Amino acid sequence: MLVQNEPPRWKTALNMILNPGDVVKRQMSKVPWPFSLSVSGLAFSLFFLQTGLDMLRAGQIEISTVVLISMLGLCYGTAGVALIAVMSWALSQGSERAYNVEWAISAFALGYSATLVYVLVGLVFSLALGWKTAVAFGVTGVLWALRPTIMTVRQMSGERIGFSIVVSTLCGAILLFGWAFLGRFGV
Amino acid sequence: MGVEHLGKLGYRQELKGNRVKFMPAYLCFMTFGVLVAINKPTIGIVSMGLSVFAAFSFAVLAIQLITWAFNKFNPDLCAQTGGQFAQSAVSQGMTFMIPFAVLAVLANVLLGWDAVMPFASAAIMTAGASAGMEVMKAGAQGIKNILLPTLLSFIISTLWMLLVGILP
Repeated sequence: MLVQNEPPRWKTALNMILNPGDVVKRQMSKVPWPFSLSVSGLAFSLFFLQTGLDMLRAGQIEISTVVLISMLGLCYGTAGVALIAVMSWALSQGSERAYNVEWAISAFALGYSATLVYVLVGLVFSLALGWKTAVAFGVTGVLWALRPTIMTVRQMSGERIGFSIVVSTLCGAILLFGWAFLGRFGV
Repeated sequence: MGVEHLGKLGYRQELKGNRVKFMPAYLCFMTFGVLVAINKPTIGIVSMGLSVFAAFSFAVLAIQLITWAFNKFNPDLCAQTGGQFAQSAVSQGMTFMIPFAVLAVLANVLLGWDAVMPFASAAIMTAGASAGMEVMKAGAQGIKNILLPTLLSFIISTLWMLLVGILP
C-alpha cells in the first residue's frame, strides 16, 4: 500500500502565504484547528505587543499595560478570529454545506501566517532599532491575510466570488477597526 | 469533506461566467489615486488629476503586462483560446482588489489614516497572484503562473510608490 507523506505543518502555513487557493482546496483538512489558532494567536499577540511598545515609547502607557495589550492580542487572534470564522461559515451555509466549522476556523486562522511573518520582522526592527512598527508591519500583515481569507470564503461558499469579496471585506474591517478601537481603549 | 469541489489546478476546467470586466480594476486603482491625492499636504486640481491619471496608467500597465506574461508563458493555451484565457483570468483576479480599496477608504474616512500605499500594494499583489490562480484553473501549468504575476505586481506597486513620492 502506498503511504503518502503529509507535508509538515509549518510548510503548509508558509504555503498559505504563497498559494492559499491550493492550500484551502487540498491541505486544510489535514491541519488541526488548534495549530492554526496558535498561528493567528501568536501573530496578533505580537502585533498588539508592537502596538503597546509604540505607545510605551510615546510615553502613553506603562510596561504593565503593554503586557495587558499583548494578552488582549492573544484573545483577539484566537477567540476573535474563531468568531469571525464562525460568522463567515454561517453566512456561507446558504449556498454550500461541504465544510464543517472546524475546517472554517482552521482555514481562517492559518491565513494569518503572512501576518505572523510580518510581525516577526517588525518585532526585530522594533527591538533592535526602536522603530514604531505596529502600523508599518502589523497593519500590512493583516492586509496580507486578506487574500487567504478571500480564498477560504470563496471555497466555503462554492466559488461565489461576489459573496467572498463582500464577506472578506467585512472580516477585514472588523479586524482592522477592532484593533484601532482597542488601541484607543488601551490609551 | 468537500472532495467533490476539488478542481485540479493545471487541468482545464469549465469556468462559468468568466466575462472580461476590467472596470472594477480601473475603479479600484483610481480610488487609491484619489486617496493618495487627498492625503497630500495641499489638495489641488492638478495634484488630484495627476494622481488619478497615474493610478489609471498603472492599472493599464498592470493589466496589459500580466496578460502579456500569461500569453507568453502559456503559448499552447493562448493558441487554443486566442488569448481569452489570460484576459479572463486577469479580470477575475483584479476584482479581488475591491476589499482593499473599500478598507482603504474606510480607514481614511473613519480613522483618518493617511497610509494608502500599503493597501494599494497588497491589493495589486493579491490581484496578480489571484490572476495566476485563475489562469491555472483555466489549464495553465506550473508555479510560474503564480510567481510571475506576483513579481510583476510587486514591481508595478513599487514603481507606483516611488512615483507617489515624486508627484506634487
